[in-house]
Amino acid sequence: MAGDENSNPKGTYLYSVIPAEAVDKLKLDVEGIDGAEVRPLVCGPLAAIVSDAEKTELRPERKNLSAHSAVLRALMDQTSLLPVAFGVVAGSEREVRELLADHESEMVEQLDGVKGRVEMGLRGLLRVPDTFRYFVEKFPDLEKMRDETFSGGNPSREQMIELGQAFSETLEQFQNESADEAEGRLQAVGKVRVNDPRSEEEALNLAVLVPREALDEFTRAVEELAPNLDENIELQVTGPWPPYNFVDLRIHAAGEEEGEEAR
Amino acid sequence: MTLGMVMWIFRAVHRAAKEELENEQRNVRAELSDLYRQLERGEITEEQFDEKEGPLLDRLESSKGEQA
Repeated sequence: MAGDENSNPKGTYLYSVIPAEAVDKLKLDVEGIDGAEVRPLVCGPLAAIVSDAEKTELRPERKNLSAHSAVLRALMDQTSLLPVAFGVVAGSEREVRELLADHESEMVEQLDGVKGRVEMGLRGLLRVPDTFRYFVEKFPDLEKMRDETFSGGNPSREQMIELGQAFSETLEQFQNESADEAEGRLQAVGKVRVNDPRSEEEALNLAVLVPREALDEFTRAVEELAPNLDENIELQVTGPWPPYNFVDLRIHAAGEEEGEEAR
Repeated sequence: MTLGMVMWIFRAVHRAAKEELENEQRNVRAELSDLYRQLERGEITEEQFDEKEGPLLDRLESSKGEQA
């Protein structure tokens, strides 16, 4: 049960690390995973935001992901924070303290880097009915190749593959150029991270670490960006978010094996 | 053992999914977090989330089975 002193938690769930100085004014009236009470655990200049966990492993289902995210959002309005990825359960409070102590300087440095800043997301979606057709019309080289491929009636499988590759390359170049244009204009506002587009429709996907006082500037930069991109790209801004894309602590724990099964 | 998980905790989930991920379970966990992030940002619909969540959770279960 949440907050029940007599319960015997299996572990300590970790949401975030914040500066210890923020703890005094912190209001944590948000429910944690499984309704658990969320509390700070101060350790030197840092504080971990944790709750008791009844299990050592949490299923990454929507209910849990959403609780994790809600805690981060509540924190974000009150302090700078390092967001922890979903699902980290430490064996005990002591283990969390050890973790913070062991990585104190890195965490302090990372917190300094995101202080007073929020993450804004920017996506550009290519709104055309048929991407292939659109690219053929837009890029004469691709059009020429398409015409050649189909000039002798039914193209061979090989020819089709070649055309497909040419299309992919054109798409990739288009995405790169769109992202470069956006990055060039937004980096004056804050640090930019370019993410790989997730689909054919997505022309660009990036995150910008914007100082809170520069949010208007960010909006203006996006407005100025729009006419410099393909006219069919629709820009979507999201945020502010916790700085998911800008926290980069490489912590290697003992006993962790380097695996091979990357995607 | 729990501290073994420490390594990936402060890494942004997105990139965790793409970079040196250690195993299927982490992959799937990262994908689910990422999927939720997309839902939260309005990049996908509720239906799209639900559609993808089930198979990912199944994959997670089956990878646990293999490990046992």
